[in-house]
Amino acid sequence: MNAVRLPALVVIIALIVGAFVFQVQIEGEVSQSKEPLAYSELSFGLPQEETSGDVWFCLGPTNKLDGVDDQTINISNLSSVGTEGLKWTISDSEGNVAERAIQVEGKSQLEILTSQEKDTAEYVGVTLEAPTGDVLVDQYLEASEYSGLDQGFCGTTTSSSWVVPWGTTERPGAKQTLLLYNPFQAAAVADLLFVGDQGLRETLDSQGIVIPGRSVVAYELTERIPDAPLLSSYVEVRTGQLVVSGLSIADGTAPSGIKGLSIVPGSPEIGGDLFLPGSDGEQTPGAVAIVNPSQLVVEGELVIRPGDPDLFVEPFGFVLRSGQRQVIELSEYPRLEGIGPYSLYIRSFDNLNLSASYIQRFLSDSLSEDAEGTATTGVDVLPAVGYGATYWLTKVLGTSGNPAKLTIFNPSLKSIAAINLWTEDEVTLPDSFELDPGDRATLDLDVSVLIEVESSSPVIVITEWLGPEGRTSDYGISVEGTVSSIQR
Amino acid sequence: MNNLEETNLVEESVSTASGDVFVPKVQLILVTHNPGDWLEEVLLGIAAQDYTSLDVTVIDTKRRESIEEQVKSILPESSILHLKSSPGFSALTPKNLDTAKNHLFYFFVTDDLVLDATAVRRVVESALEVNAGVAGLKVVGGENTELLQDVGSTIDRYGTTVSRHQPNEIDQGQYDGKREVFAGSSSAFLVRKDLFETVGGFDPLLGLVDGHTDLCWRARLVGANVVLSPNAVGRSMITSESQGRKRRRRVDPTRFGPRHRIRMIWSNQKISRAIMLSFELLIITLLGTIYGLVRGRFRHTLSLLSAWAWNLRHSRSIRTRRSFIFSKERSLDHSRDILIDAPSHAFRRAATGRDPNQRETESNLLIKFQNFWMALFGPGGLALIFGIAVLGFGSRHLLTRGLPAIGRFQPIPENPLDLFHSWWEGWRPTAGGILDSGVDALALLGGLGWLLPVNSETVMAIAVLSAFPLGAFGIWQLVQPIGGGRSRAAAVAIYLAVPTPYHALGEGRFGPLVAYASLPWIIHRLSIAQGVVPYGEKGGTPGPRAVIRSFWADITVLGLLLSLAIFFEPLVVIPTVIAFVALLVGSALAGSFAGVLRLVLITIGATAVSAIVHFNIFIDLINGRSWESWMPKDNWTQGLISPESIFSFDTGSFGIPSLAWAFLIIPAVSLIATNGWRLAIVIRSWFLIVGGFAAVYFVDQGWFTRQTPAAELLIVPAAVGVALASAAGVSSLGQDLAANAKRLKYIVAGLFAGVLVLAIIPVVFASLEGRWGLPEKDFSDTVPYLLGEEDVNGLSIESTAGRVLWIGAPNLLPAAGTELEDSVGLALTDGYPHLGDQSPYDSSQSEAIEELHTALLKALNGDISRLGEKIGVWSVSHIVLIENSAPVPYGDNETPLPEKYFSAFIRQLDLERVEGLNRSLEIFSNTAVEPIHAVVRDITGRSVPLEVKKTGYTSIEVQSIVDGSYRWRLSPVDEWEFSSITGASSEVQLGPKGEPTVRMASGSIGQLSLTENDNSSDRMFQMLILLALLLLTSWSHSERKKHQL
Repeated sequence: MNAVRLPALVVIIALIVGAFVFQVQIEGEVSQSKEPLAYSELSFGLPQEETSGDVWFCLGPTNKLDGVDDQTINISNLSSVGTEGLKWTISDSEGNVAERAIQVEGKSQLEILTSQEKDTAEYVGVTLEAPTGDVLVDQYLEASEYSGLDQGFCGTTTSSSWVVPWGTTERPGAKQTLLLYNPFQAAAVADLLFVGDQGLRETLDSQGIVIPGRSVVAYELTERIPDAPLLSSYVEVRTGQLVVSGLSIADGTAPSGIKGLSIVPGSPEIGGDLFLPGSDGEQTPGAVAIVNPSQLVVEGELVIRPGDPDLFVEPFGFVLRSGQRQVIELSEYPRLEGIGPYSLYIRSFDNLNLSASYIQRFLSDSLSEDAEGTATTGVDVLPAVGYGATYWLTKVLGTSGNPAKLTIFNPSLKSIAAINLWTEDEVTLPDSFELDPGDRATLDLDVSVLIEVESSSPVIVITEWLGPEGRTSDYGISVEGTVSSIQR
Repeated sequence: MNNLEETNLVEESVSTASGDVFVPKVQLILVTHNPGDWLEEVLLGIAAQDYTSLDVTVIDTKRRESIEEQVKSILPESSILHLKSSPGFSALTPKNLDTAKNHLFYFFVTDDLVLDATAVRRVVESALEVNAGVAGLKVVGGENTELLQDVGSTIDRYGTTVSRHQPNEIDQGQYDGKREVFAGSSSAFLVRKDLFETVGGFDPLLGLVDGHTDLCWRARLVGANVVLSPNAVGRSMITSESQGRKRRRRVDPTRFGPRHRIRMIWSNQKISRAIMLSFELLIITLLGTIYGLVRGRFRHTLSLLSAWAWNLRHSRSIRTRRSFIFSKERSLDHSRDILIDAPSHAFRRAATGRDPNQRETESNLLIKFQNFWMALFGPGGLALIFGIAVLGFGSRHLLTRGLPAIGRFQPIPENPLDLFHSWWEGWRPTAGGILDSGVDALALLGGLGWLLPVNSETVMAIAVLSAFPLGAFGIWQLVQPIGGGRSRAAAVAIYLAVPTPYHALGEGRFGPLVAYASLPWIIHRLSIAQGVVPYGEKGGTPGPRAVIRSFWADITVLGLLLSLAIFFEPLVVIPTVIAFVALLVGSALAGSFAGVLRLVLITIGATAVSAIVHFNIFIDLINGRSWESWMPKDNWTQGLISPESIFSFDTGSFGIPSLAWAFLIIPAVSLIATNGWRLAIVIRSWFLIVGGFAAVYFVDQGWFTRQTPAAELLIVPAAVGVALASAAGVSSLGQDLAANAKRLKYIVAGLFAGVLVLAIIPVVFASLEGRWGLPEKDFSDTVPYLLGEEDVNGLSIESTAGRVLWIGAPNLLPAAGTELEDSVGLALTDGYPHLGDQSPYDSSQSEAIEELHTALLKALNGDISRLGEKIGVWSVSHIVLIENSAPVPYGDNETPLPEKYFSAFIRQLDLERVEGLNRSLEIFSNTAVEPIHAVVRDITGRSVPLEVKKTGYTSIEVQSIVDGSYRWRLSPVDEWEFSSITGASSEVQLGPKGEPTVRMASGSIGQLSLTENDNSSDRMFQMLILLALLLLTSWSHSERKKHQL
């Protein structure tokens, strides 16, 4: 039998060559930007078939803690129909857990005093399950004795790593407590690290802390790491996830004169680009605490972004070793005077992770001689965020004589944001307006109202209130599906 | 007559016309020993002798009265002598032949020879003429008297009797001239009586085979002549080999030759020569033993070895025999020994028991066995033995400790018959319960697990590892017609060295192993179907052991083979189609369409046959079941396997990729170097290679975006092609290349040998580990305990364990599943998975899977916070996130899940993470699980478990302990029917979630059973079809004709 080899040879060689020529080039894996983890996200206004639920976590002291008047949890039903399947679980620092179903009528609000729920516990964690969304949950804490006030939305986030950039254990008078809440069934185990004036510290009992399922652990820092005017805390959860907050109470007797109450959620997300609302240019600016939670040396800068695009302010550079932090007291820099409102942008040059907080507090040495009356500024800590949203809800708790401030700023580095505001209440709100990159707008409102903010590009919404009772600021609630990170 | 005493001739005076003539008296001695039907003719021949002075004595060694009657009726004056049972002449001694009558001659005749009427006279005349002591006659064939049967013989150096004539030699008088012989014809010969007595007669221990040779030898030693009387003719009555074998069964030369040889040397040779020859015979015995063992001739070996003992046992009689010859008064003439042969021939006869010209006398079965034994120790067989030895050595830990439970290699269920029941009843509990029986072969494994007295891990190990020898034998069969042992060796070695099956083994994939085992056999049948040389007669002479069958026989055999392969893996159809197309394209490009039409028609026919056998699959396809549902889910992403990896069979982690390029070298060289039909084979093989590679390439490039089988299954045709091309290339060394310069041939041979060594290195090294890279431990050691199915000691716990949801890369899941999202799979099993959970299924059939899938996606999107409640409805008690094939550090197939999976499950308020686990997996316990069988209490609305007892594979007896509505979470929910036994309602009502429920009072008992379906009758029908196909194949098999070179 005869056979010819040439045709087969040609075909085979052609196929082999073709295999390499037509090989689909696989692009290198594009490092996908991590989905930003918002402190709170609300499922709001979705059709029934697309409804997803929310789980709210509130964490704070009860009135059993010295100095705290009360802790109130407010549940607002934004929907016109009554809530379905709302489940309330309250766990305390003594290991007790109670669960019950609750009902909130449409467009109404329910206030729960935790003191009525728990008799003896100093700290509680509350989990509120809203299977159909459309429910806002916020926490109100008052410590009138210390001019302390904190009002803010509860979070919807748990995480396995947290940073609390700022705290103080200045003695006497200042007390710092780290609150660790495990809302889940299984126990969690966490390691705590602290950075005080003497550098990175960890104590024997701060490693392998067990937070039992559905319980709160309050880690007292004042006795363990005393006399630290600035104390940063890191929480690494080995197993499970937690909700973490830092509680600061100061009675004004500390050397710095710090006075007030602040409960600030830890930063679950750390990134290389962080944003803060900054200052409206009229009030005394606060301080920015920047922390390097990574293992590497981070070089970065704090950028001042004035509303006037023609103005340039020299940024504040910093270099931080692993675990190191730096506090930049903005009030000490004359170059920030007279520039008007500005927002703050903290960035690391190599996009390495950072964490930051903006601290506003009363300090005795900042009290000018000609200050009128008693300066009851309290203390307020606002964590920096790396995300924005195009749809926010926020509660403004203004009163006549003590208006609340609604601040919207555009953290974007490139795009202009067109803002729309509305409310169901009879309140006059400005027409839509635009914000340039880095620009901010502040609205004074002397009413308590729920405001919806919609933007064409991600913005950040903050509410502030300053009054005799203290000062407080908090981010609004971003609506689920509208959150995105700010790309440099 | 020298050295003989003067004797008085005993003659008889016969009056003739010319006066009185003295005629010597002859005693004709007919020795009978179970004579055949021809005895009468023999007696008539004797009666017809024209020699006048002839006395006839019939020796009956069996004491049969019927012989006596028969003899007396034809030879009334003969005498009959009854001697002890002994074939041949050994019973005849001078003593018992001594009669009152004085005879000059004895004429010995066997009972299978018919004498011519003049035979005796002519022999006597010849003897008298030359004064011979022994005279023989010419024996011709019984059926064809033109053929010589016996014209005397001689002996060689070692005393082996050697015929003077060649087998089937025609009598042309060529032996009539030289009358002196060493020994006369063994069937009839004349001996002087005094000579007979002088030499001591026949050796009583030599019998028929060498008795006359010894007598003649001894006669010659004492100076007598031995002659052939060519005019005296006898006709042998043995007309067939079987008759001859039967007759000579007790005097088989193979059996008795070696002992007789030694005895004759010891009896008849001088001491010095006897000693020398004995040493030579010792060496011959040793070599002959080795030969016999290698060639499978065990009887010959035994006779060689036993000859020495036998002779030593009878050494006394040897001394007696020697005394007749070696006395002081007699000088012997040893110079008259006739040795006709070259020493090598004598050596060969003694060592092998075969004459160079000897005709085969063994039975066909014995010849087949000897050929097989030869093949086994040929290059091909040695390669096969070496390969299987390496495989066995490399699998030792797997065979002794069982296969690790990875991928689809999960344990056989505790009750192995569950696999059979699942197949028979068409339902299995996978995915909450589906009407799907899974792969048919699982029923067989279940049966084996139940029947065999070995543990089920060993059964699984054998079932999986048998793919290797099956594939190797398949290649052996495929390449047999191509060439000799070397080509078979190359093909088997290459096929066993290809990394593909080891990749499949390492990832726990059963399908590619089935393809690896079955495809060589299928391609062999396809090649035979095409009928092109060397597999058929088209284009030349068929190769050795090529089997040629009729058209319908080829259809049934191929159809049966395909059906059997599909029983184990339906997807084997895909590489079969690739192979079929490759053969067509290869044939066309080789320049010949010979046999293509036959191939196409037979393939169509075989496909139809297998479609009939697997009619259930066929009907499912027609009814709309997606063919993708037969494919196990995989995480084969685009670009995962580059062309370089494809060409080196690098689809997994086994082997050394840089060495794997060697597999293509022999086929490439063969494509250049072969000619003729070998080139055609190489071209077709190359298109098998191209077909396998192309299939993998297509899928890898994303040009075929639907579900596909594993790369290892698609690439198997390439492995077969490489082996087939290698066989053709190696075969060409002895044929095509032999015509070229020797240097080129040696270079190519050296290259091939080097390539083969490179190819087998990874396998040989991997065999040292003893488990082919499979992990030492698997999850079945610990996970069942964590799931609450076993106690700390590994003993099963009697409990209503819940279902387990497995999430991970599809190839890591311990059960067949569906896609959850983006290369993450989902599987649902009742407890820890077993073999019955490994078959793919149509996920749309499982209500549980559909609902769980939706709930999981919601949880991953953060839309729900109580996933446990959603999945608990389907009694899911645990979620297992799996990221490796085995516990760290044993598993080496890590595929991490995206972080969001862990975050999503950790954030569920009713899931509790189980602590203290290996890094390879995470287990979440569901705090909101509901039992599979539960009664929803009227008062509280809570689900309470019932007492459940399995009364059959698909029937369950339940007893309620509370009042309420019984509901079951067995899918398909509507396919289960409830019947009351005591106190329960039979009316089915819809529950709050739309599920069927039945009212049960506390203490009432009912039975839940799967509704009747057609599956069992379908299975019965299927088995009948298979049986019919087996019979058809067997009948068509008997019509084959075989070609051998």
